[in-house]
Parts: sequence; C-alpha cells; structure tokens
Amino acid sequence: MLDLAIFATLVVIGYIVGRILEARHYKSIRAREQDYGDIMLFASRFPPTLNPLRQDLVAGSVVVSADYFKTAVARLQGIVGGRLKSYETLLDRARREAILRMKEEARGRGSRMIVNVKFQTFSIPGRKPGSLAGVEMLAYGTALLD
Amino acid sequence: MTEYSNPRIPDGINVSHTHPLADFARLLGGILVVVAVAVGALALLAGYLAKYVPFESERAIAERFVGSLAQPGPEPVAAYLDALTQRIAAAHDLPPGMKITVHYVPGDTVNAFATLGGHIAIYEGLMRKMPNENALAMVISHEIAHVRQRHPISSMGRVLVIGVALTAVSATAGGDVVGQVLGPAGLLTMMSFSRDQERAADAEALDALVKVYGHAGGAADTFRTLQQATAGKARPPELFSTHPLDADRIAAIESTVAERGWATSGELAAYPAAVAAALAAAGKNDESR
Repeated sequence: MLDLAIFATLVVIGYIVGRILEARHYKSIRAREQDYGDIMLFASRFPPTLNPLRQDLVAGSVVVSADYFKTAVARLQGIVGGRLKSYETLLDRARREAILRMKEEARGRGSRMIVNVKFQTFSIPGRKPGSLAGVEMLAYGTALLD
Repeated sequence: MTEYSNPRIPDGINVSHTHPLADFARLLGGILVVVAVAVGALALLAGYLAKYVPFESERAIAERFVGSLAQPGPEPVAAYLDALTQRIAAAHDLPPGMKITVHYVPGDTVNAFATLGGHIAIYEGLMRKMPNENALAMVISHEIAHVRQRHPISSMGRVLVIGVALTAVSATAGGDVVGQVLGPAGLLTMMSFSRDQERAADAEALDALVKVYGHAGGAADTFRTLQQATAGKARPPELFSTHPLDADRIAAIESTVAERGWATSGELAAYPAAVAAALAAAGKNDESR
C-alpha cells in the first residue's frame, strides 16, 4: 500500500502546488502581455513595410514541465484516448511565455514589429522510455527596425 | 504602419474549462469500474476452472503449509476425531484419490474450517460446545462437503487472480494479497466461501449425516448451539463471520429435512466417556491459563 500512498501524496502535492504556480504564472503573463502590447506580431513572411533599415532574428524559448497531477490525468486519458485537457493550460502558458520573451528581446533592440513568427517544440524524454519530462517551446521571428 | 494591428486575443480560448479534478475523477472512476468488472469476471472464471486442478496437485500445494496444523492432538480425542471423520467421509462419496485429513486444534476458540488438500481443522472449543456427537458430525460433514465440492481451491484461485491484478495498481498491495494466499498463514485465514457455497455444503453435509446416523437429529442443534455460544459475546466465532445467518441456515436445514422426509430426531450419540473427560480436563486447563 506504501506505493499507492506515495502516488496519492504526489498527486495531491502536484495538484495544489501546480494550481498555485499556474495561477501566478497566468497573472504575470496577462500583465506582461498588456505591457508588450505595442509590439506587433505577424505570421506572414514579408514585412508590411517595404524597406526596413534592418532585420534581426529574435527568439524566445521556455522549458516547461507538467506537475504530477497533470501527468497522472494525462496517463489515464492515454488509456482511453481523447483530449489531453490537463496539458492544454501548460502549452498555452508555454506559447504565451515564449512570445513574451521574444518580444522582450525585440524591444531591447528597439523593434516594434516581428514578422514570420514561428513556433517549434521539442520534447524532453523522461527516464522511463516513452515518458515525457518536459517540453521546450521556442518562438522565433524576424524583428524589423526602422 | 498604422493600418496594421494585433487584436487582443481573448483570454482562455485555448484551454478547456472543465475542472481538472472533475476530469480526474471521471477518468479514474470509469477506468476503475472497467478494471473491476474485468478482474471480477476473471476471478469467477479462475474459481470455476480451479475445480479442475487435480486433487493431488492441490494436496502438494497444501503440503508446503500444513505443518502448522499437523500437531498430534491429545489421545483419545485425536483418535476419536479421526475415526469419526473417516466414517463421515465414507458417506460423502468422495472421488478416488481424495483423502480427508482432520486436525485437532487446542484452545478455546469455537471454530472449524476446511482448507486445501483435504485438510480440515476442528477446534477444541467447538468440540466442547457441541452437545452431542451428531452435532459435531454435522460440522465435520460440512467441512468435508467443502473439500469434495473443491471450494478451498476455487477460493484460492479467485484470491490469486485478484492479487495478481492488484499488483498492476500497487506492487505491495498485490504482493500482500498473493503472499497471504500462498503464505503459511493464508492457508488458515484466507479461505472465504460464498453463501451459495455454504448452502451447498450444508445440503451435502445433511445428506451424509442422514446416511451415517439414519436421521437428521443434531444438525439444527449445531447451529442453535453456536448461536447461543455467540449470544453473549461481542465477537462472533470466526466460523460465522463469513457464513449465512444462523437463523437462515436452521430454516434451510429444517426445510430440506422436511422435503426429503427424513426423521427429524432419533437416537443422539454422545461423546465416548473417555473423550468427554479429556475434553473437560483440557477445558479446565484452558481456563486456569
């Protein structure tokens, strides 16, 4: 029964701590999104202004790990299939955080527009084969300086 | 650049809004139900198939654990118990190769049980409580019926399947269950029979009792005595904890006797004087301890 007790404890800790950290992260994300609202992003490859003085590659990356509770829910979901709802907030946070870090870099260079924005993810394998320790989310694009 | 803008993306459009705990509970509940049904079905199947395990194999399994039971009882009680058991076993129409071994367990406990390999245990406390030989014979006959109907081995098959399935969830919990069944204590404690099995054993026991004594007297006494024995105690004897209610059993026995037209009473055999004396002496010994 000890292993079940350890599992239950980890799930409870993962849930409580995970919820607190997630709420805190979202609060910070919302505040910074407001702050960086003046920097515009475009997915199109070509700059809307025809002759910018300079183009710079900017990138922002974040590595996130799921908590024990999210992993447990995802593992159960994996048995029957369906939406991995427990990972949705995780990846949502990762995307927005990566954009914010990219925007921070752009602002540092005095740019207010990033075009050709793309995302890339890398999964970091866990110790057990087939398991997942975390995900890296990378956002990159071309910052235009005029 | 004024014609370009980034609209504010509404918050929370990329995530589900069901509560994570609700999700977890739904998944866990659903999967547990499916697993429980599957394991239950498998356990039933194992219990059913276990009856086809050859009796010699069952005996070989029991051989490893029966040591704790196999202590010679005091004479002349042990010899009497053995002779009585063999007399009743003969009336049970046992298949060839099936052998009943009775063990006398000293102490005040009012209990009796059947386990793997045709081993049955009769406690000293129970022998002392029974008003006559017929009542004791009913208990012995009941335990022999369990053996003949292969209840101990199917009980073991059932528990083993559940234990192995449990290891998938928790290695230690599953190991505990398996260890309990295969461990030395398991042989004595894990045998739990269903109500249907108890009823079937009662019916067969009654039949054999009538064959031996020519009447069904004493059978209902067995349970009446045990009922009285438990009346004043907080903890019922172990014999009952998994058995059907005594009142139900007495009623079932009486209706079977009436149906078959058996004599409800007849000459009741008493314990031989030497046995009764030895039991009484052992009882005093237990009290003084």
